[in-house]
Amino acid sequence: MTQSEMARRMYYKLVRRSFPHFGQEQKKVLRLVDQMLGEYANETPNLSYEQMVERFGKPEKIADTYIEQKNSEEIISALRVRKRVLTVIISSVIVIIMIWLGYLVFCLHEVNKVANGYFVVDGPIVIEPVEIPNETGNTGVVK
Amino acid sequence: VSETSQQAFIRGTMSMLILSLLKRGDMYGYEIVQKIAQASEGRITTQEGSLYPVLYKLEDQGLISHNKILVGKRMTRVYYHLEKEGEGQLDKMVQDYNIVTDGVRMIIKGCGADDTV
Repeated sequence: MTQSEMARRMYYKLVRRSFPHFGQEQKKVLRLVDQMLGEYANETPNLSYEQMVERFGKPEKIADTYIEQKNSEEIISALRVRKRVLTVIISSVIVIIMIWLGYLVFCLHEVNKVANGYFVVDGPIVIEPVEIPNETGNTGVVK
Repeated sequence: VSETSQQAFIRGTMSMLILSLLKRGDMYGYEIVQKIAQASEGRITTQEGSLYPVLYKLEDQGLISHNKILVGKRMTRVYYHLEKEGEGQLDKMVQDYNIVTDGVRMIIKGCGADDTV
């Protein structure tokens, strides 16, 4: 990997990190920025990160401009989506924790049952009749 | 002008500045940045990165379009072109801008904040 390519990747990574989540449109803007960074990296050998900043500005400034282009409705809508996603994630975590706690309580209950003299057997126990010959040679069935 | 206050002012006018420059002819990103500084005699400066979200939005609205041109052996340059809808929008933007700046001037003058206005 060339020095220019490394500087491009580092710069792009910081740009991407500073962007909010507005969905598909954000990806398109990032693709456009990445394309321009790539062109600059191709035409400038031994490019440094500082040179990238000098030409394109601080990575977070690009995200600032992107947000500034949004009207209030778009920002509110994006915040709502974010809130919904957060709600779903938190709810899922709570459900998973509750299922896990339920399972834990069930296991403790089973352990407690065994400790009190109960035991659980999988399937029915079948006792086969066995023939045992006695002294007279007759066989008797012992169950 | 400090960077922060200048940027806050440019925020609302960047689209208009880009459309105005593209009215003169097709330009690529870095060229737009240079022309902004040149035409304003250094009063307004911006960096290339901040331009792309604005260019994307203008293109998304159908006000400008782009054309990739091969420069050299493997380098391509993206030239932006002002569309008819963009010209109409620019006229409206300039009109709105003049109304607002006139209003601001009147308020500042009325307050005596700046006698040179």
